[in-house]
Amino acid sequence: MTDVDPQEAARIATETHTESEGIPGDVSVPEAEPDSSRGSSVVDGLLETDPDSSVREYQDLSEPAANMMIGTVKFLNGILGDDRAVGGGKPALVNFLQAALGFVSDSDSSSGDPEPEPDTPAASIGGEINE
Amino acid sequence: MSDRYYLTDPGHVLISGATGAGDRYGGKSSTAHWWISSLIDNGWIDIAVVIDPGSGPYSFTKYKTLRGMAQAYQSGVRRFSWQSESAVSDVVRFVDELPGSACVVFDEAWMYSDAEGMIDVVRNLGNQDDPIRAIVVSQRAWDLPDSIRNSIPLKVWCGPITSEGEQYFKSSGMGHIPDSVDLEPYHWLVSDGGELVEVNPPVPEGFA
Repeated sequence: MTDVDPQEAARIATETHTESEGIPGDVSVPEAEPDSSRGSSVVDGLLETDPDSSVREYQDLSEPAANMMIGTVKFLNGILGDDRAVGGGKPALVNFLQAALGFVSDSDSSSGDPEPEPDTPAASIGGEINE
Repeated sequence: MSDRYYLTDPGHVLISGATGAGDRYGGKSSTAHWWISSLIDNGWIDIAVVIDPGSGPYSFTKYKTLRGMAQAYQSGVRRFSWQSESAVSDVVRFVDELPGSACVVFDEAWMYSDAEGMIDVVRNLGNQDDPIRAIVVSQRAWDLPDSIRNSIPLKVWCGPITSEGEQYFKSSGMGHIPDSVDLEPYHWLVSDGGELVEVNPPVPEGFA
């Protein structure tokens, strides 16, 4: 049995407001990047194609911001319909959101898993995802 | 489609083999580590979780509480390591509640082979809109229940093939595979539906 019900945990994970409560009882270990010398041809095979939504599409953003961006795009596509396949490019709204998230990326790109401040555009955008 | 279709297909994977962690390259866990890292690095999945009661080589941030995972998720973390064989089903339920696709590595799966969460992923949760893909790692595949093994046609074996492993291949109707392949240490063969697909070189050392 865990400390909190899984559904409650999911609600916490996707709720709109971030509290800086720390993570009691958890062991936080810095996320080390694996060796980048990927000499194996297997890796090349995997990298031949990218899925539609990929963090690589948002290389100028930090990974958390890119994840939020992908979530936002999925959310918008769910409401508006995916016009990217039809239009052959990102919707203007997506470009706007990416520009907004770029601000966050610039400000905290050096940290491994930055936590967005509640009042930043990232937090408000993240909130919209889950409403 | 890549000729290595199995890497990014949503089908579950069972990784077995006799090798342990090595000095130069790792074996089963290293292959799983490389696999799930590649999937999330390249955006094939949205969330990566490792159930790792055996202290494997995984570089993901470690958590002991669901609340901790939830708060980390809220701040943008998408790679999690759960270092216990207990509450596996709760972790799976949590991941299933989150939006997006996921991959869960069940390392040392024999330790919690009766966990409903793992069985549920293998039998049900790979086929939903936001699928959860399982990479099940167990030194001896035959230690896992039939309900899991039979639900995973894509099987990986990390070399070498021991006499014990040979028996496993034969009893699983794959006796032709060890007869035709001389598998070097840390190389890994892929079989799908009982047929040999290919043999791959060791994964990069950084994942060991």
